[in-house]
Amino acid sequence: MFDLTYQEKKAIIFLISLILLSLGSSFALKVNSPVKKFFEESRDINKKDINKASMQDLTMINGIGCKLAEKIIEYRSKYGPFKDLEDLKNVKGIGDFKFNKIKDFLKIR
Amino acid sequence: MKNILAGFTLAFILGIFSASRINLCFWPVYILAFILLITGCVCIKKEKLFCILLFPLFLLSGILSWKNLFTLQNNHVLRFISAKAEEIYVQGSVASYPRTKNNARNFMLAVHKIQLEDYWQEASGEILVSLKDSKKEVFYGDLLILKGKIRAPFRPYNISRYRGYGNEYRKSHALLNVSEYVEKIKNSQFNLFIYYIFKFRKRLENIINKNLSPISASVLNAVILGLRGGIPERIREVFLNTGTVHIIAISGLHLGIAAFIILILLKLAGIHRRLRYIITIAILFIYSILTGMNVPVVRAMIMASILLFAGVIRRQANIYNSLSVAALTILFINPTQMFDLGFQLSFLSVVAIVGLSPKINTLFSRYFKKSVFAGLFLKLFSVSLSVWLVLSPLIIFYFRVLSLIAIIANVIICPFMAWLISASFIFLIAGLIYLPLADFFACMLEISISFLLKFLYLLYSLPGSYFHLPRLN
Repeated sequence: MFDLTYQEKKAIIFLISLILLSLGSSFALKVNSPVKKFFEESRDINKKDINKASMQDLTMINGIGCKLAEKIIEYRSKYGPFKDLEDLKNVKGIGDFKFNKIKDFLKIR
Repeated sequence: MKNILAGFTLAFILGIFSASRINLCFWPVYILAFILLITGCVCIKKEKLFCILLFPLFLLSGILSWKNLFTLQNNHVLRFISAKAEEIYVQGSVASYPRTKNNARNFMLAVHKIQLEDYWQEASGEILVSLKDSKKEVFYGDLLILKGKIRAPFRPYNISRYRGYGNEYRKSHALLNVSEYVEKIKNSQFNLFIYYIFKFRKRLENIINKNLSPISASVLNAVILGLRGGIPERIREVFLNTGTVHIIAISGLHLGIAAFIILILLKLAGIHRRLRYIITIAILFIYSILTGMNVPVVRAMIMASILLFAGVIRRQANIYNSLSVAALTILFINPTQMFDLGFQLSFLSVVAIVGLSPKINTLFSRYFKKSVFAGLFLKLFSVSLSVWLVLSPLIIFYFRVLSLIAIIANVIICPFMAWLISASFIFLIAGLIYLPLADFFACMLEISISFLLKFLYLLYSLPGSYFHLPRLN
């Protein structure tokens, strides 16, 4: 059909093997590149710093409405920055149930 | 069949195209390709079956190349870009030769770290940086901290948006618009070989800028070093509308002339033929890095290397197969190049010169039998006409310009370019040896470039030399 010699066929097979091996290894390396570190850090990215978060940031969290966000900011300005997430329970309107709902979205730095 | 590699390249291109349209998973395609490869190995002696298997194998390789390119590392900088495009700090090293365009310094930055909120995150990948303060001294290998907004790249195969993006770099990169140049940490040399080539390029650029007027320097920087950023918009328009824009983009013409000069000089030095070819391949490789490794240069470099290497091993090179090897290499490294205008123009022009121009030449040759000069003119005319015929639809599509004067302009300009490029090389060599020596050649170049621009401007001003076409829906 193409009148390829045996040597040419071997060269083509070698070329394709090289292409496939390099693509496979490159893809595998990309997919498995520092996964743990990345995901640990990325989870943290979405968390809001309770001492820096604005009204808008707080209301983006599921479970915090405008009124509760106002109360958190008011508490922060009155008593200073939160030292521990547990201190949130001192804010009026945050009980154990509410705290457990929102704590995963907040952090203290 | 002589041009078998051309068929495989088309299958590879088809694979890239289908992968850009259909979302396929990498591993199932990879396993299928491996099964086909093993079947091919088993059936290596069965002529028909083996050849039938090769086409899907190249097609699947094209799909896999595309998928691999768009698979990002887990810490790739693009993964940290938010939709809101907030300003962030980025630390990285300059990974390309910085170019100045519209008072901005543009370069690629290999990202090392980015700052997310108040901590640094290790990151990888390259981003295109646009630094508005063009006076800041930035060079290849510098480790910088920059602050700015990162804009995600658009999908490169969306050709309707092609011209809206920085056309000097690969289109698959994110763009960092720098609002604050924070600091240069140190001069970390990224790759010593490339670092010294870029240092040499900087020296050549200085020789050109110091000895020539700004306009001539901008043209020569583009013609010899591939730095097109300095060419005023008005002159760029003249080149575009007269169909001679290819002379300010380094391509096969430039590399061919360079190779010719190198071969002559080496022959005069009495170097053996095989060694001469090997040295030329090495110099062409360095020259293509020096000029920024753009697609037309890489294409011409690969093709010239194959032709010269065929001379070394005393075999005849097939032009279509060498063109296919060049295309396969470029597309394997970066499949998005298939949607790049430079790639399309470069490869189609070679196809036109090799395939169509001899036919046009034969068609008219009976009228030009007697004169040598007429024969030479006919050859140039056939090349110019064939390239014009093949590239015009593409140029109309992208730029909406139909240049009728391009055929005649190129017949005159191409031989003139051979002179201009040779004179420029002599000028640069003189400048490298002793800077005042370059002054003599600088005058000669000033006159030549001034003639070139005046001639092109004359063609540009002729009524009916080009037409702007309306946008098609």
